[in-house]
Amino acid sequence: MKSWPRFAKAQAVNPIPVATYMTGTVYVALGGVMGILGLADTLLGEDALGFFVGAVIGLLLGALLRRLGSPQAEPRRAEALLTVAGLWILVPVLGAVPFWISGGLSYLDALFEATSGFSTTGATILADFEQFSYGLFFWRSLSQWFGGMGILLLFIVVLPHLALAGRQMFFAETTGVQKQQLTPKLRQTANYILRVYLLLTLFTLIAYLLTGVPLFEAITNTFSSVSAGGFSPNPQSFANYAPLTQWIAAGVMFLTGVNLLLQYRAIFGREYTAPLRDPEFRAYALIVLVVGLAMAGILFVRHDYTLEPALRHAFFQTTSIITGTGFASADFAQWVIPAQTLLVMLMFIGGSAGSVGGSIKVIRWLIIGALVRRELQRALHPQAVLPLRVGNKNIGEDVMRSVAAFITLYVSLFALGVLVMGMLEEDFVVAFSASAAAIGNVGPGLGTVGPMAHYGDLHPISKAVMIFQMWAGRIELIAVFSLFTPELWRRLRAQTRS
Amino acid sequence: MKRIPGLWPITNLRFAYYLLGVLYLALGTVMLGLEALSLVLRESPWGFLAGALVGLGLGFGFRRLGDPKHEPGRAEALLTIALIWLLVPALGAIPFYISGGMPYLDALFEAVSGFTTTGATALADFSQFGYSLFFWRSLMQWFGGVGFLVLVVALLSHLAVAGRQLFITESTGVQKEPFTPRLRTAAQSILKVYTALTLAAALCYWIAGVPAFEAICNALTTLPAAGFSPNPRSFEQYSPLAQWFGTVFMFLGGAGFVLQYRLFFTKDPRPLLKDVELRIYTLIVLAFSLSLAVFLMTHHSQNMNYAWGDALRHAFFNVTSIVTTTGFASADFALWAPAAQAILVAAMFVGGCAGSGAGGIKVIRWLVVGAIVRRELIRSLHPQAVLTLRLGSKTLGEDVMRSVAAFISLYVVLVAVGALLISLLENNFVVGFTASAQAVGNIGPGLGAIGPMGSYAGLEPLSKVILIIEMWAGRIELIPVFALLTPELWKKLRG
Repeated sequence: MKSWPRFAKAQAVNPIPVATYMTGTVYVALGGVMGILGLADTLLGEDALGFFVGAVIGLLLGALLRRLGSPQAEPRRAEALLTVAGLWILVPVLGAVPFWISGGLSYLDALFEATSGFSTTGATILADFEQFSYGLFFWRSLSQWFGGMGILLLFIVVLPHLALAGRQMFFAETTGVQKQQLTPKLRQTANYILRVYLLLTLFTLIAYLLTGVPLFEAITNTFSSVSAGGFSPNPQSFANYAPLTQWIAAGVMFLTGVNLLLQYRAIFGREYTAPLRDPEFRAYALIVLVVGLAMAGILFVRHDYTLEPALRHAFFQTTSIITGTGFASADFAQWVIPAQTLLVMLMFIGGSAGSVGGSIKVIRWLIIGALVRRELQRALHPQAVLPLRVGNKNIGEDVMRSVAAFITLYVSLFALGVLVMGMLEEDFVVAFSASAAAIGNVGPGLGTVGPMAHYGDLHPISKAVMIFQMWAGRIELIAVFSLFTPELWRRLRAQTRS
Repeated sequence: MKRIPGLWPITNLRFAYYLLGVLYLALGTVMLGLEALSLVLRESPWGFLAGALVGLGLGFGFRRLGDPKHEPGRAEALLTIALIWLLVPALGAIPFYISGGMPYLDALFEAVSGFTTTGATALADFSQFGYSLFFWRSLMQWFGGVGFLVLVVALLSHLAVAGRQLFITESTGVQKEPFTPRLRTAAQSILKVYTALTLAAALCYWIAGVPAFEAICNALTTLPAAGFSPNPRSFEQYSPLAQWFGTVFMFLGGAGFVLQYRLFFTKDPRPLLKDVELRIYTLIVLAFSLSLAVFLMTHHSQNMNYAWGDALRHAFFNVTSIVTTTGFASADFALWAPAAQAILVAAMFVGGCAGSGAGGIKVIRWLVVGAIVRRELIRSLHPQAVLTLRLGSKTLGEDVMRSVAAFISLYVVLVAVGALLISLLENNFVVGFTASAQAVGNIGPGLGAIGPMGSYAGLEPLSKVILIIEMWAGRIELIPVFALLTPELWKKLRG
């Protein structure tokens, strides 16, 4: 017990007690899960070494970090940003261990797979699906399910509280998130979200099982469906499943892109019309409907699909891409260019702000639309004071500024990815679609990185760029980019001294 | 004149009619001069004759309908800009249509590409055009540059749209005051620099061994950052010296004429060196060119890498050409390695300086956006802090910031929608994307079949219409065109 005083001293000078404590707790939990998976895998007679190593690292490192940190302190903004950014990269760093040791992947590839998992992207580097055991496939999908749960809490509880990327107002009326009111209402909100998430998981699992998906694939696909993740243990994704399964999956994916608080109000609060009055939901549903029908038209005319398969594949792919899931009911990399172009456009829209969907999100587009409309009016009446409205809500100038800055950062990071990957991969379509798919947490791209292909052959630097994009894109950029401001580090240091 | 209900002729538009009439008369006169040239050269005279007659006839009509003393309101000013930038090419297309053997849509594409200083050509076979038509093509780009500098830059900053209120105020001293003599002086000084540089460019090209006719035509299209060349291979076959001259004049063309005026005519280099936009513009050209040069030396293609001298020359020439939205080419970059092309595509979104004839988003708007993003990141740490937006030593107003954000959003959306539609029509993603990006940015060549040595002639008619709209909207900085889509504008015009 000699070392305790030393810990106490370390704890006293630790400038980031909450970040350390949170990371430690999550590591312990992940270590526990990996330990259980390791035991299960041993019973199945598979190589469980990776899980055990992961479990040991997770438990030991987690316990150490917990001891160094402290749960009491209310984190300052700088530390809160650091915690969010840190968690979303440190968790994949640990989660990659089983893929690395038992999956026969290099550590970079394993990290790619794990980041793609926890960020619910669904881009895989796996060329040969034989390489993975049941345990690893299960872990891959489970990581997406955890990632989905984490991101919901982040989007609906943490980021609105921090007033980042315009989130201060997206749910202002639904959750009552006000400044300086962290507990009890927020805990209640978190509770609502998890109830909807679990209900959707259960419903999806039963629906998949009833429509004839094999048990193991039904479970893993459920995990990656409800989190808008997109990993499937089946190398053909959803292409070999029954049409009914594909329709159900399309419906489930549509729901994953809908604000969960609205779903809560509709399901548990019996406010069945609440979604219909929400401008974001209406825009989202309209986009899915219009793009789905347009795509069905293209598939029907330009391919050999009959009416039902054309509609089915069109709506499956539309919901899969707009929510950032990335499942495929057909190899859309083989479709005609117009259909592919529509899919690429969808990658930039994303789901609702209160959902697991990735990318820019519908509400931000509505705000940008309102901004542009107002500027056009201002061109005519320069002195007019015009409020910014979406639906019947007034948008504050601060929200508008945050949203404009967010979209600029988003497009810049996307463009930078295209540029770097364009140089390394020597293929414009791959670079463009891979960059869009990574930052939007979608998964598959086009061309040689299409839904039935994989990212394994990319240049290591391209993979690193995509890992960065998946990470930054998932937590809506600001937390990651604030790490590059000297301001954040200055504040953290100041915190230590005080 | 008695007021007639309905749109035509809206009495509020009397200034627009007058301006259009004057421009039509001027163009008619120029075409009359070219008519003489075509007669001397024994080329088909009918196109210019028809153009001149239509121009002079309609010009008189419009001028009669209009009234120069009518002070235009904001709605009218926006509509005037939009109308002129569409109706002037409609007249300028006539010679291409009648004497050039083009369908009217292609002729209109060529003329819009000319007056908007884009430089995208619908000409597949260069032997189709006579000297007089090539000269007309280059001349319209030169006029387009003058028109942009005088009409758009001055008028848009006067109207304070698209963030323009910022860009010109300091350099010209235009404050929020009506069209003043000061603005007229600024316009004159801009034109002096523009003309002087054009003459210098023609002379330099000619000294470097470019045939006299091509030297003149190319000089006319270099300074407005336009890019038509009477040579189907653009600058490829000229001597290295001519290509370096091209690089220098394109760079100057994209650097803003107001600042240069100070340098050349007042011998005061200080504002030039202090200007943030010019510094960043120079830095961007250097950075892009040097990285492109490296790629051309190492990764060009399987069996032919450029020697370092050639690599540097081609890199600087083509990067300058794309950044300034000129669109000349010293080599067929559509055949380069994708890595090199990626740099050029990225350069398409930069654009030159705000006081130049260049298209695109423009360096200063990127600087404003950069400042916004930096401020938001700091704000994520100090949500209550009141932070001013600074650019160099200037403080930016919130209105500028909003305008710039809206402008860039519109720009990106227009590029994306165009890329989507053209990809649908052409079944080719690279063509769709680069065609749309170059058209909104008024650049000229794209990649693939529409590369610098290619032509837009093979595109679907509907794609050409989309590109015409994009070139038109891009040139007048989007806001006037999108304002046409708001019901308020029409209400104002009627009321």
